[in-house]
Amino acid sequence: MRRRAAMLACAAVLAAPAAVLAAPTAAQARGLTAGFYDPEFTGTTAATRGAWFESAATVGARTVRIEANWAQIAPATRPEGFDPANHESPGYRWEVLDAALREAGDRKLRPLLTILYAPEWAEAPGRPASTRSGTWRPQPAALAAFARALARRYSGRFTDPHRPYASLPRVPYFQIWNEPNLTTYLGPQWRRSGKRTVPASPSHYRSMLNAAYDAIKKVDRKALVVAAGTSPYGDPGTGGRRMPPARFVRELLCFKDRQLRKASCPKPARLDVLSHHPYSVGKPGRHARNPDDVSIPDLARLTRPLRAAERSGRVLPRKRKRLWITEVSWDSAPPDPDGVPEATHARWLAEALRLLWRQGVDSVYWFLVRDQDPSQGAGYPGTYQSGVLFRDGSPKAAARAFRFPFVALGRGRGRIAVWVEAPVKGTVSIQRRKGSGWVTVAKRSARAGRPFETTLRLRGSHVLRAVAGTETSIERSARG
Amino acid sequence: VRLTALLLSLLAVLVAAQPALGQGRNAPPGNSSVDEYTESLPGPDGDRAVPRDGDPLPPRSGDPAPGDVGGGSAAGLGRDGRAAALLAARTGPKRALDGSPGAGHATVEGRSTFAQIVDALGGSGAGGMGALLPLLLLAAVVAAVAAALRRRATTAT
Repeated sequence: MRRRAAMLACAAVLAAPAAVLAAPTAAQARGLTAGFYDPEFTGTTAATRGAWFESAATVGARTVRIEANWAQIAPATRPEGFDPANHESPGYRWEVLDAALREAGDRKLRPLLTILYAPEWAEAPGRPASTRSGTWRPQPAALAAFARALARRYSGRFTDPHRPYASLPRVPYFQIWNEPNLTTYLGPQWRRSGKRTVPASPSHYRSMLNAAYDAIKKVDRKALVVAAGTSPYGDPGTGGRRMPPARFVRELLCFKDRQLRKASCPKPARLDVLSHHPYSVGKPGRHARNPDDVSIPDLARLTRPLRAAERSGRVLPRKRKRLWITEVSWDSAPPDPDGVPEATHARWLAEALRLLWRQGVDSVYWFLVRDQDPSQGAGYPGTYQSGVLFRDGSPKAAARAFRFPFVALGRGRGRIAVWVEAPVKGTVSIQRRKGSGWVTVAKRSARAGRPFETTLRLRGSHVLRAVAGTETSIERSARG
Repeated sequence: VRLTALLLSLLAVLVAAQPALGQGRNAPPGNSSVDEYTESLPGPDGDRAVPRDGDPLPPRSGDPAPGDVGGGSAAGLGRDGRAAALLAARTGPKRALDGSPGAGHATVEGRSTFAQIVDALGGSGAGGMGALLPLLLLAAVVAAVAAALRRRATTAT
């Protein structure tokens, strides 16, 4: 008995260092790539574009989401002999997109191209006057031709018209449409079937997605096709302008209901990545109130049908699909008087990254590098001040949180959980404030873009931070 | 005691009625006039009626004319649409700013307590009761003071 107690004591002593840094979870091996989506990437002058891309790179982005506005790139009326699948066909206007991709490529920012808005000739007839141009039942075959043109132009093998010595950058990721569960982007969302109102957009979107998937893969087998990018909230009931995202995804994957009863699925959706936009109306951990809405902590409402579809062949090819967040953010105060305070803004950004990563997300695109200008258009309530930089380029606290995200959460009984994504490869030190200085309480080697989560044995309240090389994270208070 | 009970009952009724009086929508902080990203909440009697998709809709500020992303407020345009509207506004002739709040009741997490109380009382978003709630509260206080004064006058005589 005494010997057994001694052995247990020895084991406890040996295990003590491990208790400081708890065992890694299965998620620890997964990376997290963070980037930005900002309409200014394609929206304004070359000088602005360059400044925005430079800002993105400076704060540590590794990827950027860029719009490929089909209606603006394609001719409004097709000239004679126009071949929509040939990017060199007269009538196509690639200047802005070429320039944006050049800017991204120069800064080693991997581009995700989002195709949206059909030219009028590629829409189905009968668009209601209240519906936005470019959104009414875009023709899958026409979309496929445009996707093929895009994939060819940005295959990495086409000579840059402005730099004859170089090729235009290769685009590795293509997203088919934006928020297809909103009438703002895709209509109609619902249709009449006898006396019932039934979903219309998921099946039409599936046709669009599959046509574009095949076209892109024929050109570049390794390019990833990203689906959905669903908006987080729907209108209750049926027939609204916004279909709840979980409902949309279930219908896309041929499930009848929340119990995932199977519907017939002759042509399953083809995709590599499912994406979503979990904008929150509160703090990062706030759940959406409606069962088919999906805020930050609710991603299981999408992944559960996705995994079931993988198992049953309701999504192709039959392999595990990745999960991306192609938009998320909050507005900050300053400058928006109704935004969240700047320190909270930074804290929430890091907490959102952690929550998303824990649910299996491996890429997140923050909405806006720099704030929008409220003096033009709809003022603060209708514009976005969610940048990690103010409009003039000066950094918010969120810039540091984006570059070096750090979360510390009190777990009680002398434990504090910390989550870190180091901006550079090397040793990461977790430090606690002591008087006017800092003392290191844990160390760990880390790679850039590979977050890790661990538990510290610390009693009482502490202010903590992470240090990697010469860089320090934001500070967080936590009680162990 | 009776008066206190009456006041408490009145307050309870007001609190219970507020969701029904409001539009049951939560907007992301700072974006109260952006329709797409508000959270709809079912009303007390279940699902609310919503505009029918594809049917002609009542005029709504921000619904762009086909192909037009530069007119009116930017609500209903989506994020990229608003960016296009900004670009159009920036490059077009100057006009008066439209800073009017739209149909949204911003959830106030992350904001100061004082701002939350002011919003709740004043109904800065569509989910509040507007000027009705402070007026009712004021009326209740006046009634309470009047009743107290009356009781004191009765006791003195």
